[in-house]
Formats: sequence, C-alpha cells, structure tokens
Amino acid sequence: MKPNLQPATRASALSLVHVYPQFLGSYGHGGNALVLAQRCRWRGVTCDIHEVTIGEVIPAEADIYYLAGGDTVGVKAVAQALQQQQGLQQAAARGAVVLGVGSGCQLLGERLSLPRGDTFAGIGLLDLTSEPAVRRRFGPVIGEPLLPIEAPLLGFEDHQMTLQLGAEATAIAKLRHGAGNGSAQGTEGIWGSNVFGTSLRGPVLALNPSFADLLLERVLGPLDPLPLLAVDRLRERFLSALPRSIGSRAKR
Amino acid sequence: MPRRLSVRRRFKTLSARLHAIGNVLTVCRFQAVLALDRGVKTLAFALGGVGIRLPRRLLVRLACHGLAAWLMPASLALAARGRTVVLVSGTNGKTTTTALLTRALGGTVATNAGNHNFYCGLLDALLRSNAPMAVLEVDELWLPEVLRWLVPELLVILNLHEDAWLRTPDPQYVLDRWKTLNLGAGTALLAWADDPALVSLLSNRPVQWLTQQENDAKGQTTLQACPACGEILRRSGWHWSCRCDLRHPVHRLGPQATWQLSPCGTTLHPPTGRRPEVAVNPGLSGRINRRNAAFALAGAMLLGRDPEPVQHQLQTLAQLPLRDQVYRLAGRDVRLLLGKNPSAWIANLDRLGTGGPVMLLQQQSTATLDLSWLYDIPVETLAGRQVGICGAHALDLAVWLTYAGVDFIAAADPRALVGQMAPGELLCVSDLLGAYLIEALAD
Repeated sequence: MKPNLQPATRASALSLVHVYPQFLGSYGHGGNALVLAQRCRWRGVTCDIHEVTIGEVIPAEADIYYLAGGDTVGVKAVAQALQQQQGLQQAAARGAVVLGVGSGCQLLGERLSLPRGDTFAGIGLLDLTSEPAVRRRFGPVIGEPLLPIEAPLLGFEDHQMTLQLGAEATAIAKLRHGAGNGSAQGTEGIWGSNVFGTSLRGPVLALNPSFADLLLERVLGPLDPLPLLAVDRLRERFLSALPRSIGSRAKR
Repeated sequence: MPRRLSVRRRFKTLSARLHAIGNVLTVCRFQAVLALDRGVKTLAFALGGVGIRLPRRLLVRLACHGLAAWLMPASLALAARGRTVVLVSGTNGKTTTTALLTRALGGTVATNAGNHNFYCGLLDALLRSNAPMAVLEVDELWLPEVLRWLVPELLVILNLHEDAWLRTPDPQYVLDRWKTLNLGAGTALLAWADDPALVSLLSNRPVQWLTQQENDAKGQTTLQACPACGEILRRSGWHWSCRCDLRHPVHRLGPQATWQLSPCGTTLHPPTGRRPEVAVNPGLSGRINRRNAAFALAGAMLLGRDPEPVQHQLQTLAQLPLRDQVYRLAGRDVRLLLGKNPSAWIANLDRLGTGGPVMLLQQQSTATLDLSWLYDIPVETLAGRQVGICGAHALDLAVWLTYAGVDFIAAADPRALVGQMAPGELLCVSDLLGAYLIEALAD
C-alpha cells in the first residue's frame, strides 16, 4: 500500500535521465528509475524520467543519471556512444548523481573486458576495471553498508564478472553473504563522490529504500523517512530466508 | 621416492577411472543393443522377408536398465527410431505451439504436454505412445544436445528472448550453444524472422522464415545490438539491419520467399508457389496465440497437410491447461493466464482487456528468489482496476505494484482472494507453480 504522504518540505522538481534504456534496461533494472521517481512524487517533488537513446544528446543539466544493466551483446557499442557523448561526463564533473547497475556500473569504470576477449575503455567516472570471472555468481547478497546509510544492503547477484576497485576507491558494502565484486576484499559495488555503482538486482533501490533516499538527498537535501510496510516486510523475509547465522548478523 | 597421493586425491582418481569405464560400458551397451536390433531385422528378412524389429521399449530398457539420467540421450534415438519427429523450441510459446501443431496434424501424435521438455519428458512422450508421428517441445538450452540424438523432419524455432538470457549469465552463452546445432540435410527449418538473434544463427542455413512485420513489437524483440558484430542495429518500424551483412530475411530473400503473417495476425501469406493466403483464426485468444497458430499452420503445411482441415482443427483448441484455461475456484470461474516471464506477461496484457478484476499469483517456492524481472512489465496499465495479489511471493508483488502506483488487495490464498474480488470475468495471471496451485485448488 502507498505510504503515508509527508508534507512536501520543498517545492521543487528533479530531473532523472535514464541513459540508453533500450540497450541497458533488462533484468528489471528499469525499476530503479521508477523507484526514484515514485519516492520523489510521494514527497511532493516532481520527477520526470527522461529516456535518452543512442544517437540522441545526453543532456548535461539533469540531477540524476541512471545506467541500468543489460546483456553483453552491444556493450562495446554503448561504451563508444558514451565516449562520443560528453553529457554524462560533464554532469558528473559538476556533481550530478550517477548510478550504474550491472553493466551500467562496469561502463562507468576505466576499463571493461568481455567474456569473449573484447577489452575497451569505460567512461572513467569510477576507479574500476571489470574482467570476466571463472565462475558465475548467483544468489542473494547481504552487505554491511559502507555508504552513509544504516540498513543492511540487500539484493541478488547474477553475473560472471570480477570488479577490481582502484586503491583509493570505496565499496558500497562489506559482504556478509554473496560474492559481490569477486575480489579478495569481500565487498560489493563502488562509489566515489556522487557516482555509485553496483551489480545488485532486486531492483536494488526497491529492496534498499535508504540507498534510494541517499541518492535523492544528494540533490534534494535531507529527507524524512518514508515508511513502506511492504518493503519492510519483504526485507524481513529476505533476511529470515537465509541461514539464521547470516540473517541475524545482518539484522544487527 | 614418489610422493604418496592423499586419500582424497586417490578417491578422485579412482572415481574418474570408474566414470571413464562407465562411459565406455554405456557406449558398448548401446552399440550392442543397436546391433541386436539390426540383427533381428536382418534375420527376419532372411527367414521370411518380414520387417520385424524389436519393440522400442524393450530396446530402451535393455540399454538403460532404468538407470541414471545421463543414459537418456542415446535412448531418445532408440525411442524415436522409425518415426517422423517434429521439434518445437524457443523461449516463449513452445507448449502452446506444440499443442496447436499436434492438434493441426490430427490423428494420434506422441507429444510431451506441459513443461516436460527435457530428456525425461521427451523420452516419456515417445515411450507412452506408438504413434508414427511425434511433436515434441524442447527446452531452448537443451536443443543442441537433443539434436545430437534426434533427427527431426521439421524443427520449429519460435524465438530466442531475453528470458533465456535470465537463465544464463551471458546471452553469448546461448548463442554459442546454438551455433553448434546439428541439423541433418533432411530437416526442414521454420523460424521467426523478426528475431535478429535467430537470423544471425541460422542465416547460413536454408530456412523457411515466418515474419509478422509488426511496427509495435514491444516485448517480442529483445536484441538491440547485432549478435554477429556487436554494433547497434538500425531499426525502422519492423525492419532492422546492421552495418555488417545481417539484415531482416525479407530484405535479403524478398517478401515472396517468406511466410508472412499480417500485422493484425489474421492472415498467413505462404511463400510464392503455395496457396495465396490462409486465414488464421485459432480457438485460443490473444495476439501471441495468432502467431503460435501461424507457426502451427505453416508447420503442418510444410509437412504436407492441406490447410483447410488444419484451420478447422486449430479452432477446436480453445483452452490449454496451466496456460490459458478456465478453472472453477471457490464457486467462480477464473481464467488462468500463464505469466512466467516478462515476455509471457507482456503477451498477456492484450488479453487482460481494459476493465474487470485481475488476480496476480506468484508462487515460486524459494523465498530468496530474484523477481526483478517483474519490473520489466508495464503493470501501470492495470491502474484503476481491482487488482488482487496472493501467493508465496505476494510481498514482491506488493512492492512492485506500490512503486508502479497500482492499488491492490491481498489475501492468504487464491480461494480467499476470489471471494474478495469484484463481480465480472475474473482473470488470473500466474507463474507456473501458481498455475499448478490453481489447478489443485479447483472445485
């Protein structure tokens, strides 16, 4: 059910650019844009989702940019299109919020290798290189957040890539359960300044409302919590369905 | 002095040797059974010129001893021996098209109804019936394996959707598996021309292409990049092409060389040299079922059937258990529509109509199952209607509908939910486990 609406603390609008949803928009990742927009609307903030397709200009003036996950066929072409367009890079340079999920996250890094040996440059907003992993990583993930949020980060992973973070880069969560980035540090995702990346599905922002609000707060300032009973119960069920030791530790 | 192997290592070595020996014995056993079969046939001819052969069931049992599933593949070849086999594969529509084609061919046909589309299901279907014709649906990931053992007269390939990708980490995995399709010269291929992945995989083979040329193909075509070279596909309406040589078969072969289903799905235009046009009017509702029926119609015609009786037969199939069927639940008729993945769900949207109550049932058994794909469905089209949810994953549905701005009511189980739903035709979109639940709970 819809949450109790809080009176709007600010009369403003937020612009969200969904970058290349036709190419980066499978696996339900498009839901993240929906979650951001809806959480704005429930707070009385207008939020328009502007979808940009390849060949169109990526506006540099938006507040939030979202690159979702897609399949590896065509990722190289998407990377080339992003390189040619400078809108996203210019927006990030002035402090706009950028979220990349799945291959969207990998494209934000320095370099990306595909399972069939193709290696090409990302757009370099994150100190990250992505390489094919030996084994597929599949299943639920629980992480202790390294972002300024309190609730455990929950989601699902299903990929066969290893994300190597640079020396100065910070992950978004320390793993309690799951393979995450696949590196020895046992972490998930990456963030720096206002640019965030993760491999988590769920969609990740639907399962983690505090992460969604963190992104919105970077634009709108501090926000009141938005109680959503269904999400709370879904998170409880997620944790209780895992082995007790993992779930209870994560709850704490 | 040589190092002694650890117990674990020795066990693994022994296990590997036994496995290798087992493989050799299996091959020997199958060769022996096939030799026995040939010997009986030769002896029968020598004695009286009668075409006697050992029963298939006996051969399979001799070869398998009812043992492990990895013995199944070769037994498939034995079980299908001497029959005309038609295989139907793809991501979506296998079961429906198989049922339609079975109905279209008429008479007794061996078929694997439902989701039994792996080795066991295929073998079971072949052993349960001695019909000379078998129409079998095959899981798309297993098709290359099945084609190692079966030589179909006709292979119908419906699509290769994103939902197949969901079961693998990388679409290239599926594409690579399909590149090794072992198709004999005697196998006719009927495939969907509007799917770039299929066209890329089959472009070097003689294919009977079926196309609908829909401008609004949302949810039906998935790949936006060329599966051959990775470049972005150029799209204009239904037409697509790439900078490399890959393009829609209509533009490569000409419209006269393809089976063309009209955009509204009511007429099938066969290639030149066949009948001018055939009406497509199946008993099953929905745009997607017109396409499935077109495949069945074209398949039957390729197998030499006359279209008139086939058209009539297709009209007689109005319901399909667990997919499109009316069940009596808590004293009320509920029309069940299967929505097990985004493409199937989106295909159902045009059957949901614009008014009336809708039940959504998500009953997957694993609590930590990833249902992200729900967010690929434009469910906001249900806003303003009464929507009821239930099932083990009702919470996932609740969060999804909440963010999509769709009001809903919830109940513990389908029978309780039916009691709360408004009057009118009641539709229920369900996953496969939910469909089984509805079937079990039906009055």
